Amino acid sequence: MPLLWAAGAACAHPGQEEAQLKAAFIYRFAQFTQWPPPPPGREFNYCVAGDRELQDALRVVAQKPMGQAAGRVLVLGSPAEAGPCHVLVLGFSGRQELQLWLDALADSPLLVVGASAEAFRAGAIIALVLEPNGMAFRINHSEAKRRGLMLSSQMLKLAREVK
Amino acid sequence: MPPAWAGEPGLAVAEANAGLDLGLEDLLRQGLKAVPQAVQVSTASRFAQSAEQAPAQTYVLTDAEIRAYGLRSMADILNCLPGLFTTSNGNFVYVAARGLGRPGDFNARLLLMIDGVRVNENIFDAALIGPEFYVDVDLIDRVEFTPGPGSALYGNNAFFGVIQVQTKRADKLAGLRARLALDSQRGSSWQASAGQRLDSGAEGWISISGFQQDRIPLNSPAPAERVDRLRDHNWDHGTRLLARASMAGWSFRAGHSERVRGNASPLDPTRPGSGIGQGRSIYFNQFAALGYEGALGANWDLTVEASSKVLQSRRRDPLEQPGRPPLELETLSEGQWDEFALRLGSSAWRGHYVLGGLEWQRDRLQRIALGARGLPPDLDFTSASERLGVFVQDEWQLHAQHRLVLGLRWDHDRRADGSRLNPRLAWVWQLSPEANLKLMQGSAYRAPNFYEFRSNQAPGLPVLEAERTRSLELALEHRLTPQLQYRASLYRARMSGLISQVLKPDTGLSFVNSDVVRSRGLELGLEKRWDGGARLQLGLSLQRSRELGSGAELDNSPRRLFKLAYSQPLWRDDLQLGWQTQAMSRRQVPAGSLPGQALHHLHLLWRQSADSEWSLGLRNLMGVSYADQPDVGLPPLRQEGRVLRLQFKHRVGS
Repeated sequence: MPLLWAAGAACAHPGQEEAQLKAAFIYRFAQFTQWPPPPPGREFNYCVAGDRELQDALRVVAQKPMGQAAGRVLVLGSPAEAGPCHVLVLGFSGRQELQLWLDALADSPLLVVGASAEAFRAGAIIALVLEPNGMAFRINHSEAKRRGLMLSSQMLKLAREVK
Repeated sequence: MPPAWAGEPGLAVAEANAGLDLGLEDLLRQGLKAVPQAVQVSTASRFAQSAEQAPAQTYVLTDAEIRAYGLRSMADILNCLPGLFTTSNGNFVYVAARGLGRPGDFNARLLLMIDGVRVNENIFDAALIGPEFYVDVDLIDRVEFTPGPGSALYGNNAFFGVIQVQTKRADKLAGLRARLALDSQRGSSWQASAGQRLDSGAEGWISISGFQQDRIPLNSPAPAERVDRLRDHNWDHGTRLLARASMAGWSFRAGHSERVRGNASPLDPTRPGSGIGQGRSIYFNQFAALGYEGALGANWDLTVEASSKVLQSRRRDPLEQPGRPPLELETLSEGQWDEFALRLGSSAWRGHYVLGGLEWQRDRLQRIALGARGLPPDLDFTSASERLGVFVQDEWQLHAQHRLVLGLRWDHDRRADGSRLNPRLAWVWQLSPEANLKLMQGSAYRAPNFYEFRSNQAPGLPVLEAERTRSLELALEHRLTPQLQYRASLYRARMSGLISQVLKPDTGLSFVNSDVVRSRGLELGLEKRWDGGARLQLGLSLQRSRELGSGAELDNSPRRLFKLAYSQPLWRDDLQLGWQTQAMSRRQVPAGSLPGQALHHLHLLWRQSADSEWSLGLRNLMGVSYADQPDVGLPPLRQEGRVLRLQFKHRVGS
């Protein structure tokens, strides 16, 4: 059965399973997104601010190439460092903090992924939502278009909500 | 500061992530082996937030549990939620919580919402959760239950809790879907839906469903030779239509439900042994709602909602008395009302999320009429009214681990005795990433409904006051291991002026504000998950509610309620087993007392393919015989015995 996690991967740490699942989603989101020219070159950069566990989980994901590009994880301390990023994962849930990042990077072609309801309200393109039995995601499609990103219809079809 | 470049991952983080081989659809179906803590809820604060931060306990039941346990009605769903249980007279389904389930109340102490729209009607303020409920279970994405008084946010009727039913979106209802279900008590139901989402995000679906059951077993004893004839008159059928469309922050929802419940009715109640005629309860409900949700600049969120609702319920009984022409007696309840709601949320102040709102309800028509069908009514009460509520709430992040929630709501009901002010205070302490403690002080009121108000006004009896309650609750949630979590919640509540039915020879049926009631309780819960996908949930609710003056226990208020739910994949995730046990202790009822009971339900789910699914359920597996007494004037009524249910679902083109 394809749906069981690899033995030993789950539950070593409380948030680890959730982080791994989030990271797997983020990998698929990146695959299903088209960036405006120029396309990602030899490196594809996943950037993370906050959320230590997600940083670790993304490092595993980054080992898989993204098309022709090699994956890398960058841990950001401030929005000014986001230049080389393709995906930006915001791990905070405080509105002020989220807003600071979103305002500073308002016009960059970044696939901004948040991990809370607050992030979606604040303007993230995708919000991962934890449910009692698994994970779901919401998409802010107009925000994606505004940033020049094209999301595949597969993603739009499977999102819990598209706005 | 230059970015911290991540080097090659070390061994510690190089664990495989099997999810990387899964497509998006498979990832969405991936269950969690650990108990999640930051599940999103929206009923505690009226905006989506993480459950651990929410200022009240919120229990969530999702479509995954509806499937796993074969839940077929709102009553099935509510009976799974901690502290809740339902009773039925075969016609109306009543829900009770935290010791409060007074016979004859029409769920007016529970606020019921569908996708944020209030659906309690405006004659009895009743929450209709029986077969006439708008939403077919297959359309439900999740049900949230926030127990405790919630008038500081929701106003009238949120007396012992708020139930929020959220319907599915087009991700789960795209394409064509159909269901057919049959059971061993001659019941059947069907449902069909069509839905679509465009790449622009615009989406919509429409669903139609129906049910019927004939020759329903009798719920009270009858002479053997009459049973057959009585059962011929005992039937139920109905249809429902529900639609939802949304685009660019706007959403439109509309529902229609009609149901006719037939039952045997004596042709002349004054003569025992007179013939049997066909009695009917006819329900007709409609609603339409238009809403907008969006951001106003960087820090402001706006929600606007306007809705309109119609209710008609008729009770018809034939009457044939010697020397008089036969006629049909009819009791009609009729309501038409509009609601408007506006909410504005702001995070403009650092560390605060302030939510303010206004709600206005215009009762265009409230009418109760009694008389012979086709003739002018003997009694006809008609009125119109208005209700207005204004609230404000501040969620204040005092410190990384501490949140304070302060709320206040003012309500004015033109018909009731003046205005109401309901405060709320909650303190949420994140003890560790695995544990949180909540201290909550809440209040609520329920104004007398139109029926209660007019029943007293007509014979010139004292005007009823609103019921009030205050409560204090301490709740702890603690994840002992990633796969084991418990919760404990200790509360006490004081309820004053509870409206009770009385039958007096001089004035007939009327209502009084009764004595103060004190209630104390402890709710315990445990959840355990296993690597193979098995999941166990246990809940024990202990409570004691007494009238302060007489010391008498309340009716229909069992001291102990126990729930167990266990599900396990049997063969991959294509074959699943679900088991439920629901038990309650002895309870007082108007007729004396009813013994405790334990019911067991077994369910098997088989996913034949990605598009087809079969399920087989045995409700009340042991065939336990038990009774409820939901109405003051009726004797205890026998409830459903063992029932076998079979169901098939299929989808095309999603």
